[in-house]
Amino acid sequence: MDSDSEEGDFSTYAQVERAFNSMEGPSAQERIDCIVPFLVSLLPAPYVPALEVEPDSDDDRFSLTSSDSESGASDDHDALAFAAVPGDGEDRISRLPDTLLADIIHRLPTKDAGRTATLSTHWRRMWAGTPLLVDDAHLLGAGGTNDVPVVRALARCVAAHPGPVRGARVTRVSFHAHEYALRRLVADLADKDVRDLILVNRPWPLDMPLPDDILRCASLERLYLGVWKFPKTTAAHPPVFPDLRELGLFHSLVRNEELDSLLAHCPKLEVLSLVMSYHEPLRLHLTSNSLKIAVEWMSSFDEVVVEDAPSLERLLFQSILGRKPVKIFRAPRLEVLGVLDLDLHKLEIGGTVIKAGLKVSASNMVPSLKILAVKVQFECNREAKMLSTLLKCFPCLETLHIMPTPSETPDSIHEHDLRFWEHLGPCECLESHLKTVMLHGSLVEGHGAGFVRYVMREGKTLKTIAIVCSDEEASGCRESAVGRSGEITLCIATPRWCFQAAIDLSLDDPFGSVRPQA
Amino acid sequence: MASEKKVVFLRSSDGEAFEVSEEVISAASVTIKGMIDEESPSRADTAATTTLAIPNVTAATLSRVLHYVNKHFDAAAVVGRPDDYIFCAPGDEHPLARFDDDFVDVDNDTLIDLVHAAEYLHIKKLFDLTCKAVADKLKGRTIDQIRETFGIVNDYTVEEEVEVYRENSWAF
Repeated sequence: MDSDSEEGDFSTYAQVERAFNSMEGPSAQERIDCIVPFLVSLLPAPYVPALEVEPDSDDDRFSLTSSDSESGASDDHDALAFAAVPGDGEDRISRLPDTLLADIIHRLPTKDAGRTATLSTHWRRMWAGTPLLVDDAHLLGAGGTNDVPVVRALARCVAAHPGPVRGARVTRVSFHAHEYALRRLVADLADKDVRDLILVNRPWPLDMPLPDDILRCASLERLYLGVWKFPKTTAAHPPVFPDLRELGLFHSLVRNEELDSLLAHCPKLEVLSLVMSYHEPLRLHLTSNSLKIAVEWMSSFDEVVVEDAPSLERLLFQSILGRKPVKIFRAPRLEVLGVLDLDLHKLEIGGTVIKAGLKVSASNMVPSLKILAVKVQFECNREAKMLSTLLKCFPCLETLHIMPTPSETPDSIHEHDLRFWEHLGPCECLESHLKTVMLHGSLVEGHGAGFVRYVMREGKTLKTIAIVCSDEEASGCRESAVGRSGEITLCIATPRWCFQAAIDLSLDDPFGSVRPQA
Repeated sequence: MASEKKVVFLRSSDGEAFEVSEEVISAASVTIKGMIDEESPSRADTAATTTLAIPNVTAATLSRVLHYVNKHFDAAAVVGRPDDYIFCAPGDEHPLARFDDDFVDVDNDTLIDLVHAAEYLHIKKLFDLTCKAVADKLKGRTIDQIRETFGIVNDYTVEEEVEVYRENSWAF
């Protein structure tokens, strides 16, 4: 069935599995077992924290038993403490306005929330009238990760609630052998107008198809999918996501046509992230009127192409493996770009490959760009020269993040290598816009240091050079130096670069921030 | 030193007046900020101090609310009292975590009064804190414990009760 697949080109998980098994070291099973918790750690935070962080988690086990009064109340000291301070017997909590009570129900773990329905007829009406928030992490029973009761509880919880479903977060279940429950669940979520859905399959065997009904979830505003085979979007099943603002595809097999179709059918999509995608889609090909942030995180695309993205403000990468082109055709509002790895990314702007020493013309410039993060091997002559060319492409750059990495194949140190920065003339962003340079990591003396001397020498608007450092102790360090622009502040910046920062439009700079003066 | 600091008086439903810095209460309460903004044209050049009626909140609750507000929204107080930091456990998220825990460690009626007040006065942080505290009292307890704690009367018929337990059996 997969004999026609090309090497390194995965269209089914069976191929992924074989590739994993053909590698040295851990088996495919072990690799996936490591990957899933990593994927889950990148997901948006739960609505209500999971129970295991509770110090008095004995209560959980206790509460899982029936509600009969004799069920062990004697050994629950907390319950006694509460019983000792009742009010005057008047039921004031039930008389809270519905909106307040709904708010309180939403702050409960799913199981506790569902149980309130049995308190009284008023609470049953409240439960039914409050949009459902469900998190399968709250449904894990005494059986731990034993999937059968969790899947069943999840499906019944969603089926029994009249809806709407405000949010569902499913990260603990392996749906293998529960296909019927999965189909019912997704159909119910679609019928009950789910607005926020995080659906991660704990795989094995891999290749679990996501039910077509996902394409009917027309009320979705946020959707994160993990470890699925995405359904084919045929004319009979076009995706309908008129309100979707945020889409994350994690370790999922999505064919190019599906992704193009998704982008075309999400008129309000602002944030798109692809995490650990496996060569399907081969190309990340962006055409969207609404998209503001596109994130490629540890995926292995053959290329990333921004065809036409008039609203795109941030194009962000955390790339691994393999050199790939990054092509920018039309992104007139692009303000933040990075982490551009000069070793991995072959940047192309307006149809021209940006090569070291290129005579940059207006058609190769992105004048909207304000923040750039670059991973660079200063010991490598080609990369140093590439960096200087790159700066010419972004004439209005205000903040430059430098992430120096040691080179595996450093060029031999000839004197002219060291002098490269010494003789380099100014460029437009240094003349008029660059205010801040943040250094993520140490600069090898003689290489990166030459670059810093260069920006100090030529930067007419440079105000700050910051060393990115997570150590709180260092935050007080602040000195100044004199450069072309007059006094330049040397200080500490806080690192910020992580997946959550990448998808967060409210952060002014996803890579780091200069600590305010104490 | 703080002689120029403007204050307002808040009059509780039972007639008691409380003094509070205008700046602090405006930062804390959207409702009171709105009241002050409405009043301000008429008091621009009078030295008279404004008294605002808070008809929905009793003196006992209002004084608690103001205790919270002064702790959380008076920048000078937060910075200037190192003792809050000393009593902070190392794992505490912010210096006031301990204060917050103690603040909502009260009987149910007081807590529900605080929820109402936080909602009426539109103090988001206090509203979140108190709603979470109520939720914590519902969490991990049996139905009978919750009924006893809050005085909730079971008004189900036997048939209804069987049905609701069946419907929500996934939660047990």
